[in-house]
Amino acid sequence: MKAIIAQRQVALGPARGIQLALSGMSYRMFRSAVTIAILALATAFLVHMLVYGLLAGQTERNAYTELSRLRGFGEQITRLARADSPAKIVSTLALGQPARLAEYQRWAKRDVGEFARGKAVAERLARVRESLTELPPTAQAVLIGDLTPDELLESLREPAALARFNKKLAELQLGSAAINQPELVQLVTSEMEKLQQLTTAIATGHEEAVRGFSQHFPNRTAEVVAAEPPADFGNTLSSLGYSQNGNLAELSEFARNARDERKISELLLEADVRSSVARELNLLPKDVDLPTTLAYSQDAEHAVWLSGVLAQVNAPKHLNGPRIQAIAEVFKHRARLEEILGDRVPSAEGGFLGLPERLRWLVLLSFLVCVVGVANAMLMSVTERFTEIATIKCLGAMDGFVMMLFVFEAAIQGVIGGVVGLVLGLVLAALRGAAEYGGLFFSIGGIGGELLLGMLFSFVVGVLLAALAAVGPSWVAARLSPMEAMRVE
Amino acid sequence: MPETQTREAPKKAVIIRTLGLEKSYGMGDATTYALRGVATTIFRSEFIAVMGPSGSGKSTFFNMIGALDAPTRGRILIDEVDVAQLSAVELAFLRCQKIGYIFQSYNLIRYMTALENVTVPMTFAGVVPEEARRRGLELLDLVGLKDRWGHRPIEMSGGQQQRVAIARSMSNNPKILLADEPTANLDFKTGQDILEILQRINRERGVTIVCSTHDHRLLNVCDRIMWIRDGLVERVESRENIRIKLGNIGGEA
Repeated sequence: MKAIIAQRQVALGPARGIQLALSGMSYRMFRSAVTIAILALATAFLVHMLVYGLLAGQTERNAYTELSRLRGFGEQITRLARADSPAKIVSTLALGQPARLAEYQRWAKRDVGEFARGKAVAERLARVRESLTELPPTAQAVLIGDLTPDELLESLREPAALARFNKKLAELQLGSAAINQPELVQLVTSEMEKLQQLTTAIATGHEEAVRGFSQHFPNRTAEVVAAEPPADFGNTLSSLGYSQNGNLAELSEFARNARDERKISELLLEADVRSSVARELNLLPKDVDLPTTLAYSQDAEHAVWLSGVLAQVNAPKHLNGPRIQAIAEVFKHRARLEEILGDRVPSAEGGFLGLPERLRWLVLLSFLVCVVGVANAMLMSVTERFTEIATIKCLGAMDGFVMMLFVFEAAIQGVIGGVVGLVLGLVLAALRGAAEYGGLFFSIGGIGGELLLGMLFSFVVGVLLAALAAVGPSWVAARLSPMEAMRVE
Repeated sequence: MPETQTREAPKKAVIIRTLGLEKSYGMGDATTYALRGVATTIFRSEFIAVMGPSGSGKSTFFNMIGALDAPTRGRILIDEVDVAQLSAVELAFLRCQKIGYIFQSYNLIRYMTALENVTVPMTFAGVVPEEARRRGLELLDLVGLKDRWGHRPIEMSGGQQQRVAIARSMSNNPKILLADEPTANLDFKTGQDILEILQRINRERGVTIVCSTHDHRLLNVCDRIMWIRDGLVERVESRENIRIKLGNIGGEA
């Protein structure tokens, strides 16, 4: 009778694996907590970068949209008072906002085909200009010299100058990619002429419209008219060929604010007002300006005080306390938007989760940090248990089960660490955003989906990284023969 | 059952047989041999002591016959089955159910209680937890540690830890018990206790015990003694034949 008959070892299922991994973790509570903390930090870092990046991008885009709207109102009022310059007309043609193009077409009194051709030339002109400004500095010095690109293009309409330019261009050997020479030649020899005619026609039409406006509303500036629009304001604008983008109520509110801001800054020039404001704000009289005064007047009490001061120099009746406070509020909001945006134009959405380019790199970097941190934590937690692995292999654990044990443990730690990290990262992002952008940061409308996706991404990355990082070392450990594993220290 | 005929004991059944067992480490000129052709036979239910100086290849020999490490050359037959022929799954079964291991440094799992340590191999054998607990307590009773089932290794003395390790090695009723210097880290009295437990297991349960040691007290307990030197079996003797030499303490016999 044989005492030993070789059989197949019982294979333990995943349920038993999870059970053992959990009990193992609860035994080694402290070590697990450290690993979880590392995972949580790595995930938090990633979540923070993603969420902050997304929200910051969205905040900038929102600020840009709102500022553009406000600036649009300002430009609209300006266009009521003054005709566009030829350069402005050309750039507007090239950019092509539908409302503006419609105005131009009405003022130019040309047929659709001719207008479209003129617009195409303007677009081409913009392209050539751009290619000129993107040339290397040395080439720019040779080709353009002290002129602006516009002046250069204007001068090239003279055949001799064009010939000189072509010669220089040939000598530079820039290649056809840098500058489209045939297009440029065609542009300056024939097309700019046509464009100029169109531009002149538009400018003339616009001037007529401006004249019509001032005849209809005599002795009043466009701003004042827009601030308190007469009943026929809208109809008059339409009959003069103006497009009405945005609604008139908003336009007139903007005009009212602009008018009152102007009025207050005029009144601040009065010596009496200036000195009393300077005393109140504890400033030198020369340092008193509109932003500081309005910042002070955000408080209801201070606004009432300012209205009292202004009343002494015959300020308009409607500039009472609440009105001043409202103006201050609007002014502050606009200043905040400008501060957020700076000179930047926010990049359009696109690429990974619509993150701006510079943030994409940061996210990639934080992802790498995450990978390294997690891989290191897992490597440590497996290697320091080589003896234990060897022991349980002596006691009959199979390679697959040893691996399963470690991968499950890592995944469980990953899930806990991921959740903690998610919360931590969100809190961090919210705090940082609030510090940098204030309340504007939390207008997350429109990117809720991306935000959720970003959070899910970070979480999944955390869990997967933990599990994957455990696979490598535990694979090595599980495949060693028990005695070899026991020798490794 | 195959006929087993050996010169020393013609009637007994063989449980472990090694043929030209070699184990080397390193490659080329740097090759060092731990074993250089060990041919030996271990019989069922005997208590065999393996003696030899440090570095003689004892531990390597142990790992080979315990199927913990693969030989460079040669064969190991456990109950006439070549270990090299076994799949990983069958090897795991062998380690779990048929062979018990006792290590010099106990190798208990640090974070588990005595009872949990004892029941680990039962878990791997698929024994249900209640049954494992009952059998674990029985085994702890066997080694005299029933009261301390809830203690962690760190709360126990070396001797107690080694007794837990013995209980663990017995958890699936193995046929072979491999003890690698079980008393080396223990004092005189505790070592004596361990040897008594091993002897009891051998006598009462008929488990084959292979025990490497420097401890000459083992000569009182074992059936046969094998001397290993420089990776070769120097001599194998029955206890009756060497009793005379017991006075020669301090030498290597």
